Parts: sequence; structure tokens; C-alpha cells
Amino acid sequence: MNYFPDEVLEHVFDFITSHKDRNSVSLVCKSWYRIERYSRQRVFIGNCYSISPERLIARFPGLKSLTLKGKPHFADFNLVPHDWGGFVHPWIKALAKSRIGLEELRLKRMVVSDESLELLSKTFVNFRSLVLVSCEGFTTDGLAAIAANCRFLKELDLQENEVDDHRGHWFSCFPESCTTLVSLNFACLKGEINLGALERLVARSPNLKSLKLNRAVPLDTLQKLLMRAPQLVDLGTGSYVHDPSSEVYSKLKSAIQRCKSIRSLSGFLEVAPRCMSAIYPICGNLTFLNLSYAPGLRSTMLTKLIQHCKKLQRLWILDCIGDKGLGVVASTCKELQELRVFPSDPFGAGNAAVTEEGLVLISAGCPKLNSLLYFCQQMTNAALITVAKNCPNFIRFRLCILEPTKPDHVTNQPLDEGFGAIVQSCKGLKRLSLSGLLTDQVFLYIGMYAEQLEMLSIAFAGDGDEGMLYVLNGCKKLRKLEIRDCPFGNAALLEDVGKYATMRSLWMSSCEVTLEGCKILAERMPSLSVEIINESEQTEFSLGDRQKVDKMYLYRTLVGDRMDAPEFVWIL
Amino acid sequence: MSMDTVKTKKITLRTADKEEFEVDEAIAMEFGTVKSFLLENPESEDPIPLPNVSSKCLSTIIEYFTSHLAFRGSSSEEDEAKAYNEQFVKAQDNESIKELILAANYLDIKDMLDELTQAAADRLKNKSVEYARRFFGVENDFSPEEEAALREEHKWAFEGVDPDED
Repeated sequence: MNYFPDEVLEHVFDFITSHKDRNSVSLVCKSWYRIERYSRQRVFIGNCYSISPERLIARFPGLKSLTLKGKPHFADFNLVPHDWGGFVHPWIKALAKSRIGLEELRLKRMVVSDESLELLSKTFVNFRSLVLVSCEGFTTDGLAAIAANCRFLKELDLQENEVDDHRGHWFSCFPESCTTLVSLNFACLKGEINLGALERLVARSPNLKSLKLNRAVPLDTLQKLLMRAPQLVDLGTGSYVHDPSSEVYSKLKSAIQRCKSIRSLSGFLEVAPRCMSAIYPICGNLTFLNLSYAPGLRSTMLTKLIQHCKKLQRLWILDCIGDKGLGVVASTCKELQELRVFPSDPFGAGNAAVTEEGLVLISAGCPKLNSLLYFCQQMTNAALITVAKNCPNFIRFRLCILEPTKPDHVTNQPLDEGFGAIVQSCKGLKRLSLSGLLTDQVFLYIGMYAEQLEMLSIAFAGDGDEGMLYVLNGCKKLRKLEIRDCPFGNAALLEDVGKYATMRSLWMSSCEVTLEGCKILAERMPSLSVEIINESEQTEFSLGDRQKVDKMYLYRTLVGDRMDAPEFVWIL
Repeated sequence: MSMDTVKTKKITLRTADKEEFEVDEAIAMEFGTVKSFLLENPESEDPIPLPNVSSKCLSTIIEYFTSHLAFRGSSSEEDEAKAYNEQFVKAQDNESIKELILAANYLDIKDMLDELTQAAADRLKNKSVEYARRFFGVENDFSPEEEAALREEHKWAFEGVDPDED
């Protein structure tokens, strides 16, 4: 047996980067465990309550990059109350106390305070990258601290956060010495921005590759920014409104033409359709186009634009593109892998913008399609069966028929067969979202065929406990299950409690599960945290065991019940 | 002027199994330990002992550098070197990779060590813990409880990135 010096093993481990492989390596023997844990730099924690910051720090003192996720996914549909939890402060406090040299922090659905941001910015001298997705609790004052104190900041990426905007001044907090920016995204901010400070910042950031502006940045500033940063790869425009006959517009046209590296385009938060022709010269290079925040673009304009985008791999668009528009996508974008069609009018009277026809056209024209999010008014089994045949490579398939329990609009049958065809055909399917009228049959299919399924979202579906059991028994790789408004009760919940230790989490709301059922589950599985979220007037003591639980969220945890739960959350 | 002064200087290296190799100075200087030795002992004519390197290893390493030096200066040097390295690494079985890593580490050959450790890492990717143990000839010294606790920690807390991006 050869003797490998520690530094040689460490050298080998340098090239082992996936979390799964690093976990394997650390299990080989005690000395490997030791070497690996000192050299692991990146950690992903899918549920911030599954482990404590202290344990993280104890195990990985060399940590540089941390990703944390907080609230469950259904928070996106306003099903999780505001103060439920997911606070990042204890993590930042613990990291600050330790000797960890944090450089990157990525948070999703967490509560972030200005205090946290300030502590972060002042503690970690090498901090480089902050990515906040669907977070809340902070204001632009917190951003000012990041701008002012993080001397080597490379990335500040704010996606879909709820930020209290105290207007403009935070931008001026980037010091003159800050020249390291590579990525800056403040599109979700609602307030004014110091445009002069923005221009100067971009001018002194030669490495800037990604820039996404908010609504407050007008077109003439965009033109000046593009003149300074023709090397951009990823651009999100702010307000895109001007008089197409103006000199500013003409300058913009030439500025855009110089941006030969742009591969990703988004924004158009406010848009004058007649100005879109300036974009045409760079459309041929685009691999990602996101027009989901541009309701000002109608179908004909969208179609015209897309006809120039032959290399598109990802397209996010509003349903006003219509089925015909999707037909144009299908015939133009042969490289398309991901399509997201968002509702422009989710509560509308059903101006049937996209239907099953558009989806079928896409499936026929885009054989590489592997990821779909499709909001529509209606669907048929026949269409889904065709889609399944045309596109066997789906990894993510999320179909959202806006009206709950809507059947196949031609046959009036449930959509069991359609979804059944999808799971049978797409052997690599990892993520599935169901909608429409569905019986237990669809769950039978899912349990039988969806062998790689990791995340499943169900709403207003099924006949009884059998449905849920098919899924729990069949899907061996299931990690996250979220259910709302389904007739699943205690029998399904309690049949195989050990299953939940193999999953990250289970969410059930407005189902048939009672308090008693949840209590039994919590008792049998002490390693799970079973939370009851009860927003009604009733206190803990008056809710009878037989009463149905409004919202239950359970997850496995290594550190017992959390201490930061608000009043309306009871942990059993 | 005699032809000898134009001839490339040769350095003699003696391996662990007492074999002697005459190599061009250019190649010998790629080995950090040899280079340091020569700088400190410029006059020495004796064979340089390499007690931690086998003759099989050394001859493989010499072959590697002979090829690499031939690429030097050519216009497609980078591509040729890359292609050669791929083939070279592929041709080595697991035992050889391990031996070569130790030799390259001892001889202080940075670039080659990078290539070899990357190759070893690639062979471990997506493999089981048991495979990694066999590959490196390492015994498991965790108790069953310790191992189970670690596996749980990995699965529950440090599992890895979500494919769903939700």
C-alpha cells in the first residue's frame, strides 16, 4: 500500500468539486475525512433548519461559499405567512464569530435584515459575491453597507426580492476604488437610482459581464452604459422607452451593435415597441431571452423579435405571445431547451392566450426541450400524449392550468392519461407540477414510472389516500413533496413514516390530515420537525385532535426543533 | 573544436531498484528536486540517487517529457500537449497513476503532478466510497455508528444542489 502524504491527497481533492463526491471522499477513512473537511470550500444547505451554523462551522472551517434556502416553495404562492422563519442572521452572526473567511453567500427565500448585511460587509474582508433570490426584510441601507464595505465585491445579484427602497443614495456608496464588479443585478428595486454614480461605476468596472437595471434607469442612460461596457455578456434593460426618431435612440442603436458578446437579454420593464428594432442586430447571438416582465410587448412584436433569435436555448415569455407566436418559436428556435410561459393576466376572464396547441407546436419543433413551465387556460390528454412522444427528454415539467380541476376541454375527462404519458416517456424527469382535473390514476402512473422524480407539486387532485400512497411508495428518489387542497388524510400520512427521513420535506395544506395524525407522526419520528401553521384565531389548546390541520410542514433535521418559530407555528 | 562540446549534457539518475538512467539535461531540469540538487552541486559527476522512484516510473516520466519537449516551440504546442496528456493518462492503470503521483510529488514536477492528480480525481468522480477505498488501498477505520452518522449528516444537511431550481 502506498503512503500518500496529506498534501498530495489534498491536491487530488482540489479537483473533486461536486458535493456528492466530496461526501463520498470524506467517508473513506478518518484521515481522509480530516483532510477533506479542512479543504471543502463550498457547501449547499437545502433547508436552513436541517443543521445549525455551529455544526457547519465545526465541520468545515475552510468554508468560503455558502448557499442556504429557507421558506418552503409554496411561499411563492403566498401560502407561508410572512414571519414564518428562515432568518439568516444567526448564520451570519455565527460565521462572524468564527474564523471563517466567507467569500460567497447565496440565499433563497430567507429573511435578511440590514443588520445582517452590515455585519456581513464589515466582517469578511474577502467577501466577493452576494446573491439574494426571493428574500425579504432588508432595505437599500443594507445594500449601501455592502457597497461601501466589500472592497473586492465581484457580484451583487438581487432576484425578485422584496426590498424597502429608501431611494437612490446607496449607489453612491460604492467607493472609487471599487473596480472589481463582474455582475450587478438590481432589477427588482423599485426606487430611483443615482444615475451618475451608476455610470461612473460601470465605467470603472472593466470586468463587468452582467448588468441588470431597474425601471428607474432610462434609455439614454442605457446608451451611455453600453458605450462604457461593450464587453457585456448578460444585459437587463430598465425602462426602454424613447422616441425612435431621436438622436439618443440612434446612438443607442450603434452602442448595441458594438455589444457583440451579449448572449442573454432581459428587462424591458417599460417598453416602447417601436424601439425594439435596435435589438435585432444582437438577437442572432442570444441564448437566453427573458421578456416575462415586458407586458408592453404584444404578440406581433414578440414574434418579429423571436424570428431573429435562431440560437435561443432558453425563452421566458408572457402568454400574450399566443399559440401562433409559439408556432414561430417552434419553427425558429431549434436549439430551445427551456421554455417558460407566464400568465399576463392570472385572474382574467380567460382571454385564451395560450392553449394546448401552442405547446404541441413547441414540442414538435424543439426536440431538445427539457424544461417547461407553462401557464395556460386549457389542456387535453391528446396534446400531452403528443408532447410526451415528441419530447422524451424532459427533466422539469410544470404545467399550470389556471382554473383548478379543469378537465380535458374536448373530452371532459381527467388529465390522468396525459400526465401518465409524460412520466412514462420522460425517464429522466426530476421535477413535476400537476394541474387540471386529476384522479388517483395519475398518481398510480407517477408511482409506477417516475423513477427519477425528486420534486412533485400537487394541487386540487386525487380521490383519496391511495393517491398519495402511490407516490410515497413508488417514487424512490422523492426529495420534496408539496400538496394543497387534496383529499389525502392520516392514513396516507402515517402508512410509512420512515419515508420522510429519506426526503427533505413535505408540505400539506387544506388536506384531510388532522392534528391527531400529525401528533402521531411527530411521536413516531423524533428526527422530523413537524410544524403546524395555524393562522386562525384558535390557540394551541382549543384545536381538537380531530380537527383538520390547515397547514403542515415537516422536514428532517439533525438539530431538533427550531427556537425561532413565531406564535402561530407549533412544533409538535 | 571537438564534437563533444556541442553534445547535450547528460545527467545520470539512479532509481530505487538501482537502475541508472542517462537523461538529457533539459529533461532532468524539469524535475524540481534534481534541479535544486544540480544548482547546489554543479560540479558533481556522480549519479543522482532517487530512492523513492522505481525504474518503471522513471522511464514513463522520461517518455512523457521527451514527447513534451518535442512539442515545445511548435505552433500547435498547446493542442498537441493536451491531446498527448489525454492519451497518456488514459493508458495508465490505477496502480500506475498512484505510483506516478508519488514519484511526481517526490521529484517536484508541478505540471505533471497537476495532470496526474486531476486524472486520479476524475477516476473517483461519481464512484462509491468502497471504490475510493479500493483505489487507494485504504482501510475503513470508522465504526458502523460513526459511518452511519456521517452518511445521515451528508444526506440531510449537505446533500448537494437541487436540480429543480425552484
